[in-house]
Amino acid sequence: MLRVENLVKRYGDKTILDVPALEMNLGIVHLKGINGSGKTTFSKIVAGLIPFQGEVLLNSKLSPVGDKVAYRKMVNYAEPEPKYPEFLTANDLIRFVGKAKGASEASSNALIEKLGISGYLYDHVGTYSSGMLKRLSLCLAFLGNPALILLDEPFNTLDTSAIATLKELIGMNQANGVDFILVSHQDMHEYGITVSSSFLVENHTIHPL
Amino acid sequence: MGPISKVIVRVLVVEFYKQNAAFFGLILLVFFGFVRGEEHLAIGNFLVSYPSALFFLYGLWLSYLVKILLFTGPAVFREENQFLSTFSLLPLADKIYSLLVTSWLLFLPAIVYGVFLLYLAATQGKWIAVISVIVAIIAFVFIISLILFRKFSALPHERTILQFRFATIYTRSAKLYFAEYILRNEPVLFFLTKAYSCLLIIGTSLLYQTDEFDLRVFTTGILLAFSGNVALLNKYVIFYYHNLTIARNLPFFVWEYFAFSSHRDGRYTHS
Repeated sequence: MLRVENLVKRYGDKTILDVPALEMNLGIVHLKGINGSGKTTFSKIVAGLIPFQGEVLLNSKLSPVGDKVAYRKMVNYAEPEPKYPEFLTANDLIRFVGKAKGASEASSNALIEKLGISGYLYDHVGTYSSGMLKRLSLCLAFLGNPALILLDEPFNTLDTSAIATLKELIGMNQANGVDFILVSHQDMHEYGITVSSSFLVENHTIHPL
Repeated sequence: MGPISKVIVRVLVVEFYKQNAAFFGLILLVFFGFVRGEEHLAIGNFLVSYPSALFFLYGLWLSYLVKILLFTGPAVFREENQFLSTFSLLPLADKIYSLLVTSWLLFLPAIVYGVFLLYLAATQGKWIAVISVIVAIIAFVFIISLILFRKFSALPHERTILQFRFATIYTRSAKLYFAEYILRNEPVLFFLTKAYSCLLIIGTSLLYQTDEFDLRVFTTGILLAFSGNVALLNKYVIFYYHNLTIARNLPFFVWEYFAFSSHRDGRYTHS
């Protein structure tokens, strides 16, 4: 379960999110909202990537503020428009993040194969298309032993085979007890994904649908 | 070098030297072009003979340390380096090793000169100077490692971008895009490069009041002042190639783009 209390996020004097209380029973959660509603800001907060006011608790015990390392080992995140230094290779990034997240060499290699990254593993990121970058960011998000994976606009720029692979990966990980928050303005039924609950981000707050 | 050190060295060290290539080129020009071998020896012998004079060298090393930190600080928080937020999850031994390797490589030019002084001091039996230089090198490397460690541990972090409220009420001229970008994103770099250039040119000019030099001294001053601004050129290229890629799609030649000014009556207002 993910619990949020008195969450406030501002950029300058502009309030992006103001969520007094929210409980998400995880599984596969779909977080919807129009462009600019604050979906990505919320997912970055839950991923422990940006500072905020208030409290976020995973499974009633871990906080991205108080238990930084333990929390980030448990929560992985794939950004909507991934950016990496153009002079690094997918191999560099996968080994770096894999080591940080405690992923074994074998599991990293299996993900590389599954997501079809092996063909450009040693190429510089600057030569990748947006779809190749997206596959890499998804690979990084599945590394290690996370309890929760946040996928922000996961299907953007992916081709049909990559979408099928991603659905398979979500299914396999969910069967192993991993929870997902899929952040997208799109309908998940279009992709054949059955979600356990949906939430809407609007008017700076989040409520269940 | 392991995968962790390799990535951090590429992100911080290689990029630091690339961005400051002109600066180091000029340093090499001055040290191996203008200053002769016997002058190097004379300066080195003076420094090791009077350990208190070494503090002048440590002052220069301190300004070099500031230069390193002015690069590495913002680099850690760049959007493309967001993956570095996982650094804090690494085993402690990996963190210490990779930061020490990074710090040694960043401080390498100073270490090379330090080794030259150590050689001079050791051959002349100036053991106080030997100890002083060794302690100084270790201290500077340790300080860089410690500051980088704190930077990595400080994540999550958002870069503070200066907000100019007045700047939102008019339609900007294209000529001001980069000026505003650099003032918002890198104000310290902007003002320090200007201050550095001004002080260097004023200082070089003042030399002529007391001594007779030919134009080479002033030319060197101007070149060094220019080299301090190369970092801004690098930011300029990054801005137009990464932040404003649409500019390359506009139907202008590069020189026409600078003359282009957006019209002022097209501001959208909420109804």
